Amino acid sequence: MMRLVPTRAAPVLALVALAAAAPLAAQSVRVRSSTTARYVQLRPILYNAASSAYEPQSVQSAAPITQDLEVNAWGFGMNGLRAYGLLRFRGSLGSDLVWPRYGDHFDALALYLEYEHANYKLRLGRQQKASTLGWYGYDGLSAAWRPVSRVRLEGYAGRGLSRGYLEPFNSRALAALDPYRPNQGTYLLGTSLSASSATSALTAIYQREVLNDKSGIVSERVAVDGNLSLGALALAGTSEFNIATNDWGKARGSATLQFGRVLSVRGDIFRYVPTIDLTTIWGIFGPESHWGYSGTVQFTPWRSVAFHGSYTERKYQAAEAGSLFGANLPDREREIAAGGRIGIGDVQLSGAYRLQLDYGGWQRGGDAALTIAPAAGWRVGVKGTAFQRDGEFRVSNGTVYGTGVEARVRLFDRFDVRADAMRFQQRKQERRPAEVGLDWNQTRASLTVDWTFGTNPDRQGGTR
Amino acid sequence: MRLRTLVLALALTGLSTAPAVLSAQMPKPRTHTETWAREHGQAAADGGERAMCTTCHTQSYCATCHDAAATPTFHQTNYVARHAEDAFTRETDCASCHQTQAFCVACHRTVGAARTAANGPAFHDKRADWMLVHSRAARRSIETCASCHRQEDCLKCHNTRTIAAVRPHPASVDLTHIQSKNPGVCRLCHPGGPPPVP
Repeated sequence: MMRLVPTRAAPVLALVALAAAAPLAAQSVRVRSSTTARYVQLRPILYNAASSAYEPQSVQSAAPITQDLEVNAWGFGMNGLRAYGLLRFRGSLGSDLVWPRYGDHFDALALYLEYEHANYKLRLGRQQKASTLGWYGYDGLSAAWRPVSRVRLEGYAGRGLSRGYLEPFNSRALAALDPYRPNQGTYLLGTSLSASSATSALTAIYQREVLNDKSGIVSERVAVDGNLSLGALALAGTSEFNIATNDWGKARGSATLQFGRVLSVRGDIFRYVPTIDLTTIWGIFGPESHWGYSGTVQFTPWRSVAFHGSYTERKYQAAEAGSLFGANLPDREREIAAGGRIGIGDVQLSGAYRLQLDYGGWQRGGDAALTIAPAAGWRVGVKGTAFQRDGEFRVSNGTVYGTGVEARVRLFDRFDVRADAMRFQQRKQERRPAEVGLDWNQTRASLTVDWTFGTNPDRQGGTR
Repeated sequence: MRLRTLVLALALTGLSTAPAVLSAQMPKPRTHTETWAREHGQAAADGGERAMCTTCHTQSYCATCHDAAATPTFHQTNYVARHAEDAFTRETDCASCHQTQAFCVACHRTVGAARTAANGPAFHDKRADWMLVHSRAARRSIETCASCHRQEDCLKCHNTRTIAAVRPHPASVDLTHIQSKNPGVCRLCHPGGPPPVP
C-alpha cells in the first residue's frame, strides 16, 4: 500500500481541506475594487438588398460597466496559506448595441488557494499561466519549487480553458461561435524551468493542450527566453517551436545600448507566425510567417524633456508560390514613429506621430496632450488626435479629428477616480453608398473608480 | 544646414550630459517611479513593443508577478480608434487576451467591418473577385480571416465533396506529422480519412 509522507502531503491536504471548509474566517483580508463605466457611440451600417448598397444608420450608443473585485485573504491559522480571487462582473447602464462580452455577467478570472513555503509553492483552483507562450487559463494544480534562490522549477496541470475567453474549451458559448469546434474539453499541462543571475535570466517552458478523450492534440509548444546585461549593453531574446505542427513559431531578439541616462539606441529583429489551435482547419492551411526589424532611438537630455523615434519594417515573403489567381499584395510594411514630451513644472506637453505604409493600406496620425499634475495623485489635461487611413484601415476618404479631456483625482487615500472623454469628428466623409466605410463621428468616455481597503492596503505587487 | 546644426547640437548636448557613457549598470528609466508598479499596465498594454519593456524585461519577468489573471486594465479611450494598425500588423498579440470571434466581431459586425452575410465587394479591398484571389492574403493573415469567418465558410470550397474542391495545404505543411497529432482535424474535410501524403 502506498503511504504518503506526512510532511510532503500536508500542504496538499491542507488546501483540499480548506477548499471544503468555506466558512473558515481569514484574519486578514485586502480588497481592491475597480469600477469602470464607459460610454461608446457607433454608427452601424446595414446592407440594403433593394439598392445593393450599405447604408449608414443613426448613431447608437452603449454604456457598459465593469466591476472587478480582487480579494486577498490570509491568516487561516497556517503560515503561508492564502486565498485569492479576481472576480469580474459585467453589466450595462443602457445600450442599443451589442457590446463584447456583456451578455456574460460574471467571470472568475482567478480563484485559488495557495500554500507558499520558503522554497516551494502550491496552488489549487482557477489560475492563469502567463509566459512567452501567452496567457492560458486552467482549473487545476500548480507546483513551483526553488531548490536554490535563483532557480525555479514549475509544473501545472488541470482542465483547460479557452484562450482569451476563460470558458471550458467545449462551452456552449464557444460552440455557438463555430459549430466545427470539438465537443470535448481539454487538459492543459506544462512545465517551466527558470534560472537567473545578477545580470542574466533564462526560462524554458513546455506546454501541451490535449482533448480530454485523448483523441488529439490542441497545441504543443516549447519556448525559451532570456536576457543578458553587459554593462551598457542589454540583450534579450525569445523563440518558440510548435511541436504540434513541427514548425518554428515566433521569435524576437533585441540589443539596446544605453549611453547613461541620455541616449539609448535599440535594434530588434523578429519573426511572427500566428498561434492557431490544431483543432481548426486554419492550422493546416499553412499560415505564413513574416519577419522584420526595427531601430529605436530615445533621447532624454533632461529629466523633463525626452524624444523618441523609430523605424520598423516587416517583410512578407511567401515560402512558396500561391494560387495563380492570388491577388498581388505588397511584400513589406513600413512604419515610422516619432514623439516627445516637454515638462515645465507641473505642466507637461507630449505628442507623437505615426506613419504606416504598404501592406494593409496606409495610415498616418498624431496625438498630443497637455496635462497638469498639481499634486500627487492628481492630473488634469486636454488631448487631441487626428488621423487618416486607407485600405484595410480605411475610415472612408476623410480625416478624423478628436478632442478630449482627461482627469485623475485622488479623493481620499487609496481612493482614485479617473475619467476621460473624446469626441471624434470626421471631415470630408465619403457619401457614395456603395463605398461606405466606418463612420467616426462619435463620442467615447470612461469613468473609473479604484478603491483599495482592508489589511495593508498600500502594499503593491506580489499579491497575485 | 539647419538640419546639420540641429543634429550637431543634439549630439553635443547628449555627450555633454552623459558622463556615464557605457556605465557599468543599465540605468532605470525615469518612468519607473515608486508608483510605476501600479501604473505600468496601460503603458504596456497600449505601447506594445514601443513601450520598450522588452529592452530589459522578458515575458518571464512579467510572469513573476502576473502569474495569475490579467490585471483588470482597459486600453485608453483613444485605443479603440487606433487599434487597427496594431491588430493588422500583429504588433500586439490580441488573441492572447481576446477571443477574436467572441470579442472583436460584436463591434465589427455592428459597424459593418465584418462578415454580414451580404454579398458584395464593399469590403475585402472592394474587389468583386475576392473569393478567387483571396489565397495569398488568407495565408499571410489567416488570423484576420478567422476573426470574422467560421470554419464552415472556408469548408464550402475547401473540401473533398464539391466539384470546386480546392486543396489548401501548401507543401511546407507537415501533414503526416499533424495527422499523427490530431487526426480529427483531417476528418473535417476528409470524412473517410485523409489521402496519403504525396
